[in-house]
Amino acid sequence: MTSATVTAHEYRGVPAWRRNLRLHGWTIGVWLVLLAMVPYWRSLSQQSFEFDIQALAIDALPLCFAAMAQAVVVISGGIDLSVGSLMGLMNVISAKHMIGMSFREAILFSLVILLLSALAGGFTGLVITFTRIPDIVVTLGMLFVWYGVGLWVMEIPGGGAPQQFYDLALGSIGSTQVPGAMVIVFAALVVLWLPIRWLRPGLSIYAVGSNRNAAYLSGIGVARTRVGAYMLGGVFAGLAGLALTATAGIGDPNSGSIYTLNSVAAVVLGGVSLLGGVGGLIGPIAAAYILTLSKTILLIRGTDPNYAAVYQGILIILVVVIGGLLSRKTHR
Amino acid sequence: MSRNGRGRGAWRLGMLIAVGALAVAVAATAGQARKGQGGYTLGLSNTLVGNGWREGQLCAFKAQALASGKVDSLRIAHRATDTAGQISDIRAMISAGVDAIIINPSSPTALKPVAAQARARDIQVVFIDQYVSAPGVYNASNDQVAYGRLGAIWLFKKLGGKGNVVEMRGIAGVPADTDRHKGFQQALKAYPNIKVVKSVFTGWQFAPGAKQMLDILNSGTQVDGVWTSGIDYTVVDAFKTAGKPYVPVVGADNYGFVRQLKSRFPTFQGAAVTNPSSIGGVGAAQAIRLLDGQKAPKWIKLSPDVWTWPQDKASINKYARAGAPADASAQLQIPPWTTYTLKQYAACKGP
Amino acid sequence: MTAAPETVERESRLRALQRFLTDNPVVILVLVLVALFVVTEVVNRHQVGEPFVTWNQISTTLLVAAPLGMIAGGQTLVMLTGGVDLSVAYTATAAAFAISWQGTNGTLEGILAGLLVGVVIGLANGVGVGVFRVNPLVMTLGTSSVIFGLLSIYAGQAFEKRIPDVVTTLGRERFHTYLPANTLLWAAVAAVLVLGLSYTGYGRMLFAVGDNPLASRLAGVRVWQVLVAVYVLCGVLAALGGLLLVGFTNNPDLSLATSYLLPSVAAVVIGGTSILGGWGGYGGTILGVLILTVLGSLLTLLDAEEWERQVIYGSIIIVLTAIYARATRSD
Repeated sequence: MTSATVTAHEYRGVPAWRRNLRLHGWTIGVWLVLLAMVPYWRSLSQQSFEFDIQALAIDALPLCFAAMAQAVVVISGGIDLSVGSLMGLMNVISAKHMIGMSFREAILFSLVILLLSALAGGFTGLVITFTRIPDIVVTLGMLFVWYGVGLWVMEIPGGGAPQQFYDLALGSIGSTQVPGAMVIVFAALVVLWLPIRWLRPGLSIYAVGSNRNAAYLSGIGVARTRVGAYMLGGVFAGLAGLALTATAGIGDPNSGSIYTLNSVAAVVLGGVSLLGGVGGLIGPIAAAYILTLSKTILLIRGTDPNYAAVYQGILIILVVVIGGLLSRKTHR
Repeated sequence: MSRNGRGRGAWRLGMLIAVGALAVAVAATAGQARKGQGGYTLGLSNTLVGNGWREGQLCAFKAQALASGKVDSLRIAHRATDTAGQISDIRAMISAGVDAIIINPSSPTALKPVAAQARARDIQVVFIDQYVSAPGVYNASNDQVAYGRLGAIWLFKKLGGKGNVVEMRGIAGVPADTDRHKGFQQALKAYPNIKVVKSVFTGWQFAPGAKQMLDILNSGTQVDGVWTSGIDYTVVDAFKTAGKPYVPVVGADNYGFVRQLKSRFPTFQGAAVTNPSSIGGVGAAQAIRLLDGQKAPKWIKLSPDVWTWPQDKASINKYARAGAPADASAQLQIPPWTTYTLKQYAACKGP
Repeated sequence: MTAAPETVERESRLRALQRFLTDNPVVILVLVLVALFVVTEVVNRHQVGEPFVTWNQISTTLLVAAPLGMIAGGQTLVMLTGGVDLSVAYTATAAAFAISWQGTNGTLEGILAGLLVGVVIGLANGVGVGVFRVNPLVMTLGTSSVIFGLLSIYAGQAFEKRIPDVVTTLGRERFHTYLPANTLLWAAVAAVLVLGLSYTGYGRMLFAVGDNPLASRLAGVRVWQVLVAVYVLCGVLAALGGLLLVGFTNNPDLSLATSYLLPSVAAVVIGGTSILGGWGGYGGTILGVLILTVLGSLLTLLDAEEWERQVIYGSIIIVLTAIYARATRSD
């Protein structure tokens, strides 16, 4: 415990306004990179803008939510290795029960799913704060547990949801140039995150993430805040699971496995510091779109899409190396 | 002011490197652009990598595309992913403007909407290896129900209709696994004294399959026979490793297994049920024929054979090539569909 | 009046016992292992009517455990420094592919290529963590992603594979019916690790770096060199694990070692090495590996579903870490 806080101190002590500048600079930069990729992508594509933007929005939807789930937890100073298996669990629960439902029932059941995943996330947070074991160990354990429960719910992929539920993610809203899947992401951001971000709970999350002891001394309920962050992360993981149901059309207990790594990648590229307290959710969303789009571009060009994994790994490391060098420089 | 400037400079440096890395990433692998309107562009979507059968399927696909002389370029998504990933790969192929997409499906139902999207754009869709029923699509695959049934009947007969059997399945939820399991169950009905003591999913990966078998043997469970969905020769070796006597094993026509049938007879006896990976070439040939405006069967259905040693000496000797990779499928041609040379197949290069 | 000193004495004895067990978790682990063997024996006799604890069975258990023992060895070293290496599974898989691709050129080429892969990946991880101070979790996740992508690309291109006979012998043969070849290699590696950690300067430095990197640096330890060496060692041990695995299965595939990643961490945690670093050792890990292996057999025998297995593994990691954390905290 002591060694961890000492290293954490090494990187802190940077004035808040300057960290803010860097934070927003990074977010804007990531969005610019995304925008810069669009013309190149469109020049390669043989399909209409409507089709392409729709495809991108749908493909990136689960990762967007997984990245948001990871971002909340990381900002609060933790890390959640169980994000992928929790979303896999919510995917199979929803697909198992929604298949015979009407659209209305499916929407109500989605709320139940979000409640369940909030409780699941909260449970992880409680175990962490109660046992005082490092986040990485507890969430590693929970990775097994949620995956196991997912297999128990549904061993063989299947199930489904009503067509209108699929259409939420697959359709468009208003103009055909505005994919529903993209609207949902920003709606979730505005409804779930921004109110928290700008009010007291959000401040607590950032305070606890950037310096747990200082937060405690200034009267913030550290344990409560951390559990809250894991609960909110759980809600986003639940949304990610529902997104998987809507975009893949079925439940699959193994489907979440790739999202833990990818959510960490999106968070890191999106400008959230793994030391906590720095970053937001808007950057990781852009990073999720970039990661998805780069794979699509490779495939359209006729390049082996497996290169996407290679670049993704290199990019994560590079970004963290640069971030580390910068904070070391500013610290001195 | 200077601190401010340095912060911004640092940020710029970071962005520059991020953009640079992306640019390098994209530029480093520049593929060839599409040429004119003459030839076709084919796509292949496959979601299991590193298993010799699927590599064989890929090479047969590439070789057939090359041998046909009618294909200009390929879009290949040969990567380990899930159903959502496969759907997104297929959409990217639609964006790339392919003329036909050959798919080894990861789900019997989930790919139907995206297949319909492709059909709506007049793109031909061929499902290979695993049967998928959807409007306007074509299929090229083994009769997987028969595959499961024939092997299981051989095994149950061999055991005299009595004993403990392990069922080593493929990937949960994919069409071929479901169909083979159906066939296995059909055979089981006629043999009430056969007990399935264990049913596991190998994920169609040889290493985990071997470990699962070793775990079962290591736990002391009594095993009299094993039916595998093609994860065969490493399962046979697991008996040797565990220091237990061989029991009858049903496998596929993989080189490693076919060689074992021959060289370890009579201490080890088994049956190879054929399921050629050159189906990848058949899918390409079928798609090309459709693009040429000719008629092609809705379902090119292969009927599996059961090979045992020494009854099927001729077939086994023909295919038990020494030196070929153990996990690759033995039958390299499916006449009249595949027209590539074995050299083209081995080179594994597309147009 | 007379009862009071007795209670005190009993309490202090209890505390002494607790302290003894905390300092020597190996004792508890041996008891757990023995208990697991006994339970499995009883279940086996009850279900199959045959004893489980036979020489053949023990020998097979060791044979199954050895690859995990190798991979968990590297993981132990890394976790002693307060890190974690999530790339061990793909390092092992990459080494296995390298061995089988280069094996077509010759036995020595194959084995050297496999070990070289371990060194290179370990070096990359070590430089990232030690020199550039990247969070070990992110660094090794990043290298995993790179290795996975490269393997996916080349697995689809390179067709010819050959596993050298020496490797298959090491992976699955036994000497004198009961002595698995891979266990001999494991024993040799274990001896080096256990002795090296206790009796060499480097071993002690490793603990120091894990306990307090800042203090170690002030005391003149070149922390980055220690870290680079640790990750290289971890890469090599993972490569050796991959060698044993590919020798055992006689075929590399992409998921060759993926099922070993989390157990490698679990074995270390069960063995009493703290994930925060500076505390533990390889002796406990060996027992952790054996416990996981016997538990696996027991669950197979009990016909446990896959989901039950996963939940049990996950719970073990959390519960044991909590117990260890509590025990060490009370000191």
